Amino acid sequence: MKAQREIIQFPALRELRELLGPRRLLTGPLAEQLYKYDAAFEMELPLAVALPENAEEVARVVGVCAREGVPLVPRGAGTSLSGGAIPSPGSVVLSLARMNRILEIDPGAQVAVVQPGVVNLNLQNALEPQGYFYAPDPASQLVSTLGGNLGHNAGGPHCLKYGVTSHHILGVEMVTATGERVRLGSRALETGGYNLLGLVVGGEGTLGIATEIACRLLPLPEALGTALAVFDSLEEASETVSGIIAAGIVPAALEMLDQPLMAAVEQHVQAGYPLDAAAVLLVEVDGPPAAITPQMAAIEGLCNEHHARDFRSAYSREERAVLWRGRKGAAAAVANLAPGKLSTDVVVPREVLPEMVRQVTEIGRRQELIIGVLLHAGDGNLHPQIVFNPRDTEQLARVRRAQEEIVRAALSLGGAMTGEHGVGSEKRHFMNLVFGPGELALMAGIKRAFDPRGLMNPGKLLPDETPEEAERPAVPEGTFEQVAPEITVRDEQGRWRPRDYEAVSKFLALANRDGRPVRIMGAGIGLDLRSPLPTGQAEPEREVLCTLSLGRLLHLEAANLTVTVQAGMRLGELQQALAEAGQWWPVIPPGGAEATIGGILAGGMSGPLAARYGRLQDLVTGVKFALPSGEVLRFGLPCVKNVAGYAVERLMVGSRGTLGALLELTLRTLPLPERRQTVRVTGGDLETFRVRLQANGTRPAAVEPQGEGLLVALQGMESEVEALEETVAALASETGAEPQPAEEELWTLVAAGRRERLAPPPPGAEEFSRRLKELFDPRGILPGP
Amino acid sequence: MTDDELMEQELVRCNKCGYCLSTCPTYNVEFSEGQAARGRLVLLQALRDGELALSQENQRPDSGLVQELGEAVSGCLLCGACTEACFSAIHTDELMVRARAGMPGGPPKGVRLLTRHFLLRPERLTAIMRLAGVGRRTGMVRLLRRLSPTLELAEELVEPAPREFLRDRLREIGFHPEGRSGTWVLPRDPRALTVGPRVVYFIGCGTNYQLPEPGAAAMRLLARAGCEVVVCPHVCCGLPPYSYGDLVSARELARRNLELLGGLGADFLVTECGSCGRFLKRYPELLAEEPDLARQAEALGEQVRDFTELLATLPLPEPVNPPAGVVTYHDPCHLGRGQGVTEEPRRLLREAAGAKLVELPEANWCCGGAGTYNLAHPQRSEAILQRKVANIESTGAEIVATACPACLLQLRHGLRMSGSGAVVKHVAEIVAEAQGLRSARVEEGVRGGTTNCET
Repeated sequence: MKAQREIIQFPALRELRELLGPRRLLTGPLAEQLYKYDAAFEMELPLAVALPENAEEVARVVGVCAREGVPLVPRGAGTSLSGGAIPSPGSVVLSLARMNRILEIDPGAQVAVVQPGVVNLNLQNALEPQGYFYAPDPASQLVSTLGGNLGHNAGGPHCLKYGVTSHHILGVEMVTATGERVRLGSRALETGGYNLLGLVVGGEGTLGIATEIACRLLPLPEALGTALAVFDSLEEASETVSGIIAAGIVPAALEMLDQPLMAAVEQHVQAGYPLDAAAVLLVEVDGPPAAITPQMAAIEGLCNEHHARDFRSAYSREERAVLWRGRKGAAAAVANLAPGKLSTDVVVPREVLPEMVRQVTEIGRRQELIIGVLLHAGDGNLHPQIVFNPRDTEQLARVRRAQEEIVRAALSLGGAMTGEHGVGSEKRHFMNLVFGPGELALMAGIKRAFDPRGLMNPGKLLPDETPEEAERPAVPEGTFEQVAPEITVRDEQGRWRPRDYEAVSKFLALANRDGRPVRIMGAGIGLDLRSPLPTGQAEPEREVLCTLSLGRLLHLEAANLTVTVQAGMRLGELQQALAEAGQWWPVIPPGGAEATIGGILAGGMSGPLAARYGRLQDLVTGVKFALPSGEVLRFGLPCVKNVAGYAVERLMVGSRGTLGALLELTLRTLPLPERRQTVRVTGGDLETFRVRLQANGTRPAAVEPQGEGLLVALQGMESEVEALEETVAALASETGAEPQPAEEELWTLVAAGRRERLAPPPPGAEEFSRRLKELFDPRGILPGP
Repeated sequence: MTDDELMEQELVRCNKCGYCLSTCPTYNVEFSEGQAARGRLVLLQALRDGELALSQENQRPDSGLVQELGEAVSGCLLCGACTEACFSAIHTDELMVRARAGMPGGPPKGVRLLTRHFLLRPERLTAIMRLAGVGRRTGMVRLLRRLSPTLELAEELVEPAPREFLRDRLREIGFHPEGRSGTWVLPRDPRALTVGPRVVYFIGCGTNYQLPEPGAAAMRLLARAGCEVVVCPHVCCGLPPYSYGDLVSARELARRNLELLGGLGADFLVTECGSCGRFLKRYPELLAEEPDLARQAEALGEQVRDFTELLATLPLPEPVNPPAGVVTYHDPCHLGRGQGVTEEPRRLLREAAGAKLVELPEANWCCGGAGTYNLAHPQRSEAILQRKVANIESTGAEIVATACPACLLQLRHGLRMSGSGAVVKHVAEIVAEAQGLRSARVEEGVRGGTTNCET
């Protein structure tokens, strides 16, 4: 039998069978068929399937395969829509489905630790009775596993408000490509060192295999409101979306269905959608009860303003379910139209959503295919659903063409090739459209740093042809002393201030050629708070490149909730510009308003508001930087959802100027809270006060010790802040404490005081950091990690 | 639609999304694709497309490949939970039955023999069942079970057979013979609040030979609620051979039942066995290739009602003796998903029985009994059952109600093993007791009349 032959032929399989036993090492024609697929198109037969039950077994399986040179493909529930779990030829599929235990739920610390095979919904169900939830909720949540969610950086309808998977993973235990178990991150919100975890999340199992995951928990919202509005024009529906965002409302969900999809839904579930309408919009807001009513009223006003022909709202679980019925039934409705269905996945800036839908419709007409569009309209993510008959090969070819055209259309509109489904095996060939040879080479280098032999999920994420080494920019002629003054301005402290990006590039290339040590600096505030050197004092032996000269705001896309700035822009200036658009970048760094955005991000200190609004790595969506070689690379986009390639933008956060010089950053902005209030509480039983305040349903934006007292940030809608003020007053009188209004500037002091509390990186992964440093800065001209 | 067309039409609609993994009870104990609906469908597709080739060497029924394939195909509980989770609503259960029919070597020969010699000839079946009962009581079976572990498990699962089968006890329940040979009638209870319909009662094999109590209770309740209850000769509904893929036998039984049950001049055909009821309702599909019969089957199918489905429409007096203790309800797959009857049994328990009902978590998750699945796949069945038992224990219920004999046996087995004190009863029993209808149970040792009315 074939199974027998394989066992004999491959010593690795013999060893694995001894390790796992015949029931957990599957070989032969049947096992090959049973693991050749996931939820995407392609199929490939694996060599064998391993079903380990604990991290030690995973490590040993990986160890054996690494030694014998057998590729490995990790698999959760096999629901990848991009082919992330499709075996590569001759690979062992490593199914983590049996590792499905929730190891710990710690509501106090707001952390759950799970094995990778835990199904997303099972975690939610375990958390609900305790009053918590795990925010990422991909549509497949009833079956997809948290390991798979992590690998794909899964999203879901609630991303607009709560962010994607990477925002909610605090740490992992990972089995490396050589079969060692290392920890990345911790249980704290932020961990020091290079953000290796930020690469692994969304790494599609190509960098390592998570065997234990620490997930961040959030308290369940106290109240919910859902609105459904029907529009006669897609433009008006989209403008309503932009209007809602502009009004300072961040809904928990903002979903839209186009006309063909509505028609399919109506045929299938009778959700009460008019067949001649152009779009239906579903908006859900959540939060403290005091904040729901005014938001719903504002949403209704905006819908009317944009000529919604029908508006319905609901608050109870049952009534809301009625409004959600059509949206929830959409997938089944589409499946009902034809035997086969392809759910594509692209992102565009929010303001071009109608144009994108128009192009999708046009592509459908051209390829003679039925395409209905499902939109996570709030974050610009859309899923054109193409239906077809899988037995019709000619039609299948048209489906493929349509998918390709949709991706190209999104890219040409400044969007992303994938927002949440991943690159996997099916979108690899688009990577060359998105990234240049330099970016691809760097990503290939990252892959090698983690997996030198290329055995972890090969054939995924990166295109087949990745340049080993991109062409380096030419180093300018002449000595450093000759050229540097030409391209930069030297200030009175002797720092070099570049005129433009090209200057940075040339400056670094020169220094790199000569092996001349360089130090990158912004305002000289943020970073130095963590370094042993006195503020602002440069190391004498390093040339200091100061990016303060690159301080412009480039694009403020208010409707898209993004802003692109140069690295040397000061936070104060940025906040002022954003405030004019009714927005802010919700970060209070140690350096305060004088700190530069580049410095803040390189420093990686998120400050006291991170628990409420996200960490720095969650608030940056794109980055442009110069490598020490002078090469300028860009990663990410002005899109909240984008899972194409490794998240180098997240790696640069906290890299402290050791990997390259930040030039340009795209940030996620948020509507300014209607009211911000800081209260300082002193005296009495402050610990009891703090515990009870944080257990309160309506939470403050931050609670931090400051001097002898506690500093409390109350932010949100007017009504919300009022409710919080009452709570604070009541709790204070119960605990004998004294609340007083305080200056908002005090938060900067708090932020500066937090630096000692950053969790140190766990030991074991230093080798990866060393290799990354080597990859970015092979001559070591920048400071060490 | 032919079996082959059904296969093609259904398989092509699987998008491999994997949502069935969330509800498939076998996947959720083994976590391997071969024990999930998606994997099973992929295997069938691979066989059809020739990607999975059964060469001459491995086509023998005893070859490793065929055995593995059999494990995947026979591992399905036919619970239908996957269909509910499936956007395309693929009927994997039906496809598995077709696959079992098409396995190399075909369905087990024993099933065919059993059908021909016993299921189609109930008088013989009754005789052999009596013999088995005697054997078990006298210890003969104990001797035999040393030879076979399956038999040992069977003895644990299958409770001691009643001395009297349900058909032996019709007179005691109040039936009297009427006209046509072998027909018995239980008149309306004069106290009934309304004049209800005339119903033919379908006595399933499990009810007759294993669990007569729920059947008796159901008959008494129907009469109490104003029905005239008729019992007449019929054969096994055909589900057991169907489940083994023996469609020939299943169709033979269905045809025989159409002959015996057609034109009885009754309003409804009623049973308290969720599995029999569902299968009777599905005769039209089973006989689709014989249009004349299919039409008859259609007419019959429309008359079929689960006992709870019918009783819930009839008025009953306030309960006089509500159950002491908390009751929870397990949805039998073939009644809940299979027939869409989920509210009626709960309403009967709450209203007609006056029970304090607590909802069972995952109430419609298969208990793993699935006919004789627990005998064929004991370990997997046991693992599935553990989940059910844990859910039952989480409710703190003292009484577990359900509405299918196979579930009753499985749940009783599970609760015995776990040492839980909860008792498992059919909804009919609980309602009958609450309504003060005398338990039909004849005191142990007392011989009732011999009113066997088999054909």
